[in-house]
Amino acid sequence: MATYLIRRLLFAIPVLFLISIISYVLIDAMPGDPVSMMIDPTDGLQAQEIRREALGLNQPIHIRYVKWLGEVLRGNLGYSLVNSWPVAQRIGERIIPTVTLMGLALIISLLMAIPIGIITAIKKNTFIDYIMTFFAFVGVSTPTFFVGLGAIFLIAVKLDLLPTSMMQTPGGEFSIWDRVQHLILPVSVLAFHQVAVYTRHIRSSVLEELGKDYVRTARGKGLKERLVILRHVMRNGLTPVISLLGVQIPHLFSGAVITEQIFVWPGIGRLTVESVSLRDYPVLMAIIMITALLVLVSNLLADVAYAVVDPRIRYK
Amino acid sequence: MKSQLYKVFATLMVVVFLATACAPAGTPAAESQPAATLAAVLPATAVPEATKSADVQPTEAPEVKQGGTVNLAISNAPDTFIPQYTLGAYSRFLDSLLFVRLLRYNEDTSLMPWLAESYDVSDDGTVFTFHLRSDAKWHDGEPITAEDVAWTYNFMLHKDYAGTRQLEAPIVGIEDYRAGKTDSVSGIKVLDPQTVQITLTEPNAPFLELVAQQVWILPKHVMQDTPVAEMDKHWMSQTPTVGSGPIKFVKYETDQYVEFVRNEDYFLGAPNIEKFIFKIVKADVALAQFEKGELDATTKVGTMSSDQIEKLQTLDVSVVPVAGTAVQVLAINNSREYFKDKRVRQAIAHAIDRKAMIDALLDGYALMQNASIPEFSPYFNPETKDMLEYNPEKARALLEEAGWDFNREIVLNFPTGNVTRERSAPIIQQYLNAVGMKVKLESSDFTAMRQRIDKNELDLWLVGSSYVVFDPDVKSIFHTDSMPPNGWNSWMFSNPEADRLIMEGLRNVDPEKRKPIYMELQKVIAEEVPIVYLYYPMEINVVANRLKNANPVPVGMEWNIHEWYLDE
Repeated sequence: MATYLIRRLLFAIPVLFLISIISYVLIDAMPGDPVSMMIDPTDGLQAQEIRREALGLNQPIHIRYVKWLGEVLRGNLGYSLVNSWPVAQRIGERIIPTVTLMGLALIISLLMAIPIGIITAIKKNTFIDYIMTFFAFVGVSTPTFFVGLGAIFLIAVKLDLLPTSMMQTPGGEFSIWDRVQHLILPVSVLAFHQVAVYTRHIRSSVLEELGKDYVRTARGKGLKERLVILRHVMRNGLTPVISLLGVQIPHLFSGAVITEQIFVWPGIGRLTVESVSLRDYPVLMAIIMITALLVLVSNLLADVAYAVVDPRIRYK
Repeated sequence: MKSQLYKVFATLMVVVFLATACAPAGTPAAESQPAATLAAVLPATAVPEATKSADVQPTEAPEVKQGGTVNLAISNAPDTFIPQYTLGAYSRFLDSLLFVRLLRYNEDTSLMPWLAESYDVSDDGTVFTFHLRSDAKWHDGEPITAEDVAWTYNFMLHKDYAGTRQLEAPIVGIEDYRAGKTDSVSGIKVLDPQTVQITLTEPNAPFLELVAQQVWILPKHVMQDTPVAEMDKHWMSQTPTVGSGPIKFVKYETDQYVEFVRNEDYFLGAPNIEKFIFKIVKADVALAQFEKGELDATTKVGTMSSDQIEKLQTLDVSVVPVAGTAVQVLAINNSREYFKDKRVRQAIAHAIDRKAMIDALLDGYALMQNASIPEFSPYFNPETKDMLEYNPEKARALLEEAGWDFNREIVLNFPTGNVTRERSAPIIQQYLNAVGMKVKLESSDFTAMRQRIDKNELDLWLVGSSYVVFDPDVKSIFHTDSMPPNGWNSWMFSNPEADRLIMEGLRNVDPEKRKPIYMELQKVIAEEVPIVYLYYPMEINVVANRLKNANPVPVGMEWNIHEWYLDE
């Protein structure tokens, strides 16, 4: 197992390099450049040239890449082309808000999806199953901006129960209660969507297990149905949750663009979209590389977790 | 079973929909008038009644209340707080509250003194002497002097300066300074701590506008030790605590809001309101926040639909449309052989029903113009108003007269990002098809299109053109010498008569003498149609009725922020 882990980690290094080269080339190949977005149209093209020179954008791509790589390996992610603030700072100040929002949504949706998924599987084709399935489809197919705006109008404006947006009351001091109030709406909106997705996964996996021989054996030897489900079916039926988590962990970092936009949440999703439209190369590269790293690591973790829960899986 | 579920679902949807679409209960029907009457209000006079009557000095009006917090909406996060490096119009809005300039605009777009108490212009129009106020202080208590002014101008003219705002003026001594022969620009002299003198090589009428629009004075004592090339990374770009404007920086919560407090020492008088919070929100959310009373005013939060505007009318707010600062144009590549005949360009203008487009896409909240100058400007030529009317028969006749090849296919490019502009593209295509021009649509994002424009690869394209300066000068977009890479005449328009008038207008400093020149120039432009001015969208400003004296005008609403007060 240990050698397997080390091998996987070593293998990640060339993969990351490859990703960095491909993304650098692709980002550079995007038509347009940051400077044409920055300079006021009345100032003339000379001003653009000065700015391009100052930002080092006139150099050929391989030189820029090597310079960028050298800095990154030394731990410097560079400066934003848009406002010259350090990239590490621009990303850093958004990590905690993003992880709080996404993490809470993930935990809550799992806590809800697991029981719902199991119940709907057991009560297949009953009223409960239909109702839950119906909500799952509503959740999957309703766009977040609709649910988000609906929730704002209904709960924040009409019923006046919660603040409409933002992470804290502007101008006020930080307090846990204030933060919790501001978290409820965006977390619920995200969770509403995710519960739906997870429920469907868990339901189908549990259904599959229910039809297997060992379940019949367990029932045949007179085990109570509750124990059959909790002890046998659940253990096997929940392995897909691990792969779901493996996919979701990078999302904890990359954020949810639309939810962040609607709830004025300072997350990384918004930063990404902004950086793409303004062609802020250093910020984009940093986000891509961190996400790539997280994808590799979380996949590895998922594989390890599989081995832990399922003794049949052995890595050599 | 299924039909029952469907009913539940349908009921739910209706509930959600009603919740988002209904006016608050108890609103008298008479108050929820549609916006038709407002659209007729002219931009320059678009002053809500409530604020008009309150237009008095705060000291004379006993009911002016002190203190409180005002919440304002801006639609994008600020990028940097040093004005010389900002990209977005929204940062600019904040910058103008944090830093002062020598001059500024009054509500009617005329120049007025700001940091400079007064200024003299020599008879030949080349020497400008600015007399600074003696009571102006930086937010850290240091006095603002002529040294700061001279340092800022030198900074912006330095060879390493790479800001987004350029000081393109023919000031004496720039070449020597940039070549490193002198330590400062010889044409910028500090005569005494309250007086600074700037000498130009030739008369340049828009120079004062440049002073009023582009040059925010920066604190020399805080910034002078940083090399010019590194100035964009100066700590002031993140925490601008040493400003000079009516409000002082407190903190910026990333992507959420910027908090300011009043500047007790502001030389035009301390603001009445204690705290200013600029929230970063889009139109949809802004609407919800207005309804909840979490917002007091908004400028430029993006285009609002007529539904949204109508809904706003039911709240305790004033909706004030004012002329924006950007006009949308249909650019024509004048260097294409088949567009060289002005009759073809006129035909394109006559083919498009701009009025109908404004009504359909912008609910009527836009102005039209045929030449380079908007109607609210004192330089506007009313004769151009009825030129280029919608007349498809005339358009077709003009095309036939010009020998247009009706089999030729031309491409109309449009950038993504501005929804109204995107939606206008197929409409324009239909209008042009209707007079027999074959038009194909192509779209890309703005940065990509910009590149193709610079390479002169396009036939027709849609683009926004912003008025950074209210001066009527159009050299950078219509003069032959301003074709890329020397300027923004990317439509490659070249007309000797226009060139002559443009230069004449630039060299005349006296507004009365300039006026007839620009009257003439507008006629030439409306006749030649180098580009088609499509529409000039109005910005919908919303001001809560409890916020008094806040008065949105074409130059913005922040110009008298120190006179605002909250009446609750």
